[in-house]
Amino acid sequence: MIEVRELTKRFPLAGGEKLTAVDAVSFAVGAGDVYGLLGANGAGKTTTLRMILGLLRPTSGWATIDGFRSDEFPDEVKRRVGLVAAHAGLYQYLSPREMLLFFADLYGVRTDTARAELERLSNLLGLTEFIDRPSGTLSTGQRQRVNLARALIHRPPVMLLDEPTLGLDVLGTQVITEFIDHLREGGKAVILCTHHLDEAERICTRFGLMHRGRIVAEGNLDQLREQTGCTTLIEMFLKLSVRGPALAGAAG
Amino acid sequence: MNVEPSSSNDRIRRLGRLTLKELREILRDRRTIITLVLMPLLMYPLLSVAFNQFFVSQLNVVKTPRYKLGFDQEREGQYFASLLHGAGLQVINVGDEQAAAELDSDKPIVEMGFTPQLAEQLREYDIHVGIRFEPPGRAHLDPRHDLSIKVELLYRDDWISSREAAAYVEKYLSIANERFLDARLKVLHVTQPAAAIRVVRQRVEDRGATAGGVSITAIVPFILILMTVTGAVYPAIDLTAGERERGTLEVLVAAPIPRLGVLLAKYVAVLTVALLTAAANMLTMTVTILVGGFGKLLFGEAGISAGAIAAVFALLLLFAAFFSAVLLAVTSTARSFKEAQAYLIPLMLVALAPGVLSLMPDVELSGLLLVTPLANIVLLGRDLLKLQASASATAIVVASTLLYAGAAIGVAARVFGAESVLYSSQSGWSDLFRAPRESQNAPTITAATFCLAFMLPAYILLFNLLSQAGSDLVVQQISGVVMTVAVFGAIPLVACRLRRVRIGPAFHWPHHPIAVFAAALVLGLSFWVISYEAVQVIHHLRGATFDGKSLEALQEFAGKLRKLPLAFTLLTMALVPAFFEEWFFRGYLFPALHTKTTTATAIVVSALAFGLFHAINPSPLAPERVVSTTLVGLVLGWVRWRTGSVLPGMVLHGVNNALVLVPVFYEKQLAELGIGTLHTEHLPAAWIAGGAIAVCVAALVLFLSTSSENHETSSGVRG
Repeated sequence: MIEVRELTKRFPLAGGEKLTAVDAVSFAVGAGDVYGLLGANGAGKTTTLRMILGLLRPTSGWATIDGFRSDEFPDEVKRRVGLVAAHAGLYQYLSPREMLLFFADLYGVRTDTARAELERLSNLLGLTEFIDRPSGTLSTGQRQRVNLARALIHRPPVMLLDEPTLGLDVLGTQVITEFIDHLREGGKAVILCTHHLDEAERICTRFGLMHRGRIVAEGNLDQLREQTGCTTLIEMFLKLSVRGPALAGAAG
Repeated sequence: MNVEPSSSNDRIRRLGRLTLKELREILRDRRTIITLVLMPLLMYPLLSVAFNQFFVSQLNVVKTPRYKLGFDQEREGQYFASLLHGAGLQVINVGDEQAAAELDSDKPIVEMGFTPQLAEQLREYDIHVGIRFEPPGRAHLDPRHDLSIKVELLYRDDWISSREAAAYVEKYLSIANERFLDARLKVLHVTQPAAAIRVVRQRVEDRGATAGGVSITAIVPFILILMTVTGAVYPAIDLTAGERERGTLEVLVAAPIPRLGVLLAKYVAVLTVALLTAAANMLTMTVTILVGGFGKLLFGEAGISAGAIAAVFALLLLFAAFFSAVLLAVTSTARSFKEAQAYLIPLMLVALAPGVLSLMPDVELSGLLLVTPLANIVLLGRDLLKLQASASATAIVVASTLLYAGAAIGVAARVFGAESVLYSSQSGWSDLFRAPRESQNAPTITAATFCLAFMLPAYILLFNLLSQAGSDLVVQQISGVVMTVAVFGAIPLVACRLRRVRIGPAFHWPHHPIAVFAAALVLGLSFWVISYEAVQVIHHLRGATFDGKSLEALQEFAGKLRKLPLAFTLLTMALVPAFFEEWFFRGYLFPALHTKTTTATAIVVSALAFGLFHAINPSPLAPERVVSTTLVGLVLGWVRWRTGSVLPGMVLHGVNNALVLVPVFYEKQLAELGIGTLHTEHLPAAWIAGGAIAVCVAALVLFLSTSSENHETSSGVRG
């Protein structure tokens, strides 16, 4: 479903230098998989997601969704992907209903289908009580649920979730985590970037640990344990910050 | 999930829905409503008060003053009243409103009262001037007897009205003196009038009402433009930088819709709000002007008319179309609301400076001002309101503003949602200006619009400089060549280099060269008959006449031209313009248009641009010139399309130009054959028929000589 090969992104810096944000990253995510793309801030997770979606053009390498390369067929890729961005906001003067129908329209969903999907998601994510209120009046948790619904309104087979629980309390995080589990059961291919490592450990089927633009360890939890010699993701994460390059050597 | 197939109708409908969403979002914001409704409602009444205070008072059209005049004795008062009344002063008794109503309201009225304490009354501001006689009680108005009265005028130096009243009464006392002296001299049989030199003041009306050195007619469009800008600023920021700040922009560009579609929806939304603001402002301003009675003062005797209002609103639409695009281009680059505001402040200052200059009373809409953004709109607005706008100036202002708007939309489309703007923390600005990786066969419409937007002011600027080059015709012609090369040659060439556009395809050597070039030659030799007759028809329809002065100037020019070698004139005035104009209009602009539009559109638009550039030269025959050059432009565009090259067009164009010049050198010989070179009438029917046949035959030969794939591929734009 998602295939990423040698994906690289270099940004030009002042003075002619270049920053390698993503360095020859490769992985694949199948239907029903939740791939945890984990790493510290600045590791290159968000840049990778943006390249997969076609929002950023790779310096080299490629990413495909359902066989469509994101740099060649960005619209085909976008049609198949639902994105929950880390700092995504809402249109404060539109209600969730108006906003969700608007996005359904952008994705070319027929009005009657969009209305039915809106009802389904509204019940599923508990949007009913505030579906017609201006979005500017919603709480952080309510906003994030609307964002999730927005990403799902066109029923994409692929979901890219960049810090979907950012700023949420325990209850809010729980709702989102359960929903991701639900997506996996529904057969969607999901890439999840998160700092909630315990939750990631529970719901992700495979992991890619990123450090300074490179995937330094990849596989399911058992494979990661084998590669890193650690038992939990938190331990791996801490070890990564000290021994990143060494781990990279081990993974390569 | 059902996904709709995307047809052009769907795309248009989606654009409409996108626009509606943007409008819904922006119109629900209270800040928009404040700018849209409350600002004009509050501003115009306040402005009218300020207008009254600062402008109308300076124009001396405020209510005429009334002065109170006090006398210490009633008998003297009555005597003086008759004396001053005889001199033309409007005098009434204090409080006699009935008498006041019958007087001329444009002249001051003097109310007369009696009081023994004149000084005290003045100190209390009860009277403006007191009149005391010395010695009292000796006033007789009889020209048969000598008269000598000493009168004391009491006034306050620290009270303006008192000083004015004293001067006013003194003036009429002088007139009364003169009148009495005239009568007395008549009694004494002296013919000399009392005033040997009679001075009559005559006020000359200005062309436009001015106050404080500012054209107040130009203030109206200027304020309307300012308010339109104010209305557009907030939505432009909110829909771009605001959207980015809120984090909705990334999810918007993650949707499978073209960036240009999203931008156009935002553009239409900003434009709509700007126009709503303009409409609200026009409405409240019109009401304020009508209620306040400023119509005649601002716009002359005709006052404000519905036609003028409609014309100014159309102008505001044009301006809003331009400025909304500029605003979007600028605000799209900002990461936050605050940053966008910081960018807009210098933009507004730069944009408004020429607008402020255009408020000067003697500024005319001509030269570079025709293509100076904002200033041209303000001045055209002023001229429209005064019903003095010329058609050619209007055409240039409209065309240049549309060009600028197109260029600004092009920038906005490039900037909006671009990687370097969307993720500027990671990407550099140089991305925006980077040339394409591969060379292009044709420029984009955006690049061509940009090029035109640079060329138009450059052309006018150089044209003005050229007109100051002196009277030496050789210098003028060489300057003309420099201008042509710089504008039509260098600017497009730089544009091609910047965007990696190959220039080779434009100069492609067409198949069947002999037949094609022969046809182009014949077209060049014969088409002038058609364009000449078209000019005559327009000339007659317009009822315009070739006045003697213009004819004289033309003959003088022809005389000067004859002194130069024909080859030099042909090179500078026919061949160089033909080469460079073809290089730009058919070599650069035509393929740019042809990349996105139909062949017919590309031919027509390039021909109109060709015509427009030839109309910039201020001349009473400008409309005719537009028609004739546009017609030639249509033929040249067609030839370009059929042949896929600019070379045959250059031949056609060069011959067409030469045919205007060559007869000037052989005027005498032609006159012997009964042919005048400065015709103002229709050509003989045989000439018209011959020309038309030659045009048709040449066009047919050219059509048959060019294969169908020739114009599809070798034009370098459709493949």
